[in-house]
Amino acid sequence: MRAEEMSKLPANPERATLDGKNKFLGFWFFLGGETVLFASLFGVYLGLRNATNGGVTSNELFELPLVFIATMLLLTSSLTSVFATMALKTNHFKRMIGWFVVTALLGLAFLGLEIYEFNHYVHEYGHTMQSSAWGSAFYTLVGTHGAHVTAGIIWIALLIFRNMRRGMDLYTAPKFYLFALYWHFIDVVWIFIFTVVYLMGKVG
Amino acid sequence: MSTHESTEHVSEHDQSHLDIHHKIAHEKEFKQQIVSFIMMIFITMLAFVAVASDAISDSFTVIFIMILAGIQLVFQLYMFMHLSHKGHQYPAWGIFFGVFVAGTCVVALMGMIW
Repeated sequence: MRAEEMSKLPANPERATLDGKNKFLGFWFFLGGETVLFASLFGVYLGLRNATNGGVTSNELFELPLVFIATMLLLTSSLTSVFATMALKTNHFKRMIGWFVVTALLGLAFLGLEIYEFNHYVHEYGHTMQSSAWGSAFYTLVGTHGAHVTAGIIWIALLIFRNMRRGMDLYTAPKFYLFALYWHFIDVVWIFIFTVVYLMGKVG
Repeated sequence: MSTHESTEHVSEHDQSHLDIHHKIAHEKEFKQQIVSFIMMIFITMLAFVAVASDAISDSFTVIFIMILAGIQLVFQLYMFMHLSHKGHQYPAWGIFFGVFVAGTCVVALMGMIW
């Protein structure tokens, strides 16, 4: 029965059912709300980025090569989740799972770099949440993004684990499609973090 | 990855519902995605180089990298998140209303703190 369903999967399986349509629309509205959440943190960061309390400044602290590698990891993971979405739309379940696994691994590598970076800042430079208003704004903004990456990795791991044997159908397609949207959104937020926090921090 | 492919149950036969037009459309989309990705890598490198080099003035660099970030936002939304595809009118309203509120919020917060 399932094989029959698979062969009849419509062109946009993520939006073929009412359930799928609702999830799709609701998730985009959620992303609009998330945009505002991050905007509030960006606004605070921009206001406090020079409030260093006599401590280390952003120009002394940030190292561009590390940020560049992190950016490339996340950008590449955005591409692999595009491949996963394309596999979803052409009804290749195993291929889609494969690309999502690659996406999650790249996300994990990104997270590892971020943990190393925060640890380095705290122990080598004494740049902490409490050291200055800039420190608070920095860890809140970049940390909230890191928490989103963590949530994304847990989300896709659970999705894969739970639906591995079910295969592609109109029930699983919306779930995987929404994760891909979420992951792109995380990359969009990172684009503004590397620009506003790191690159502008280097310029002064 | 390749080991996964070999165990894949979706055969040519199962794909028969995808007519030739669909396949051409998907191949075209694939090429567009790859080009978008290369463009995004290029834009990212440009931003890092602009900051690393001393040839450009600081105030110009800030404007320049913000424009590059804006271009990348459009690439992500329209290419990777398929906002240009059919049936994305409401999502576009949702996300752009979010972006509008976000812009207002950033300007207001920056202004208030200073």
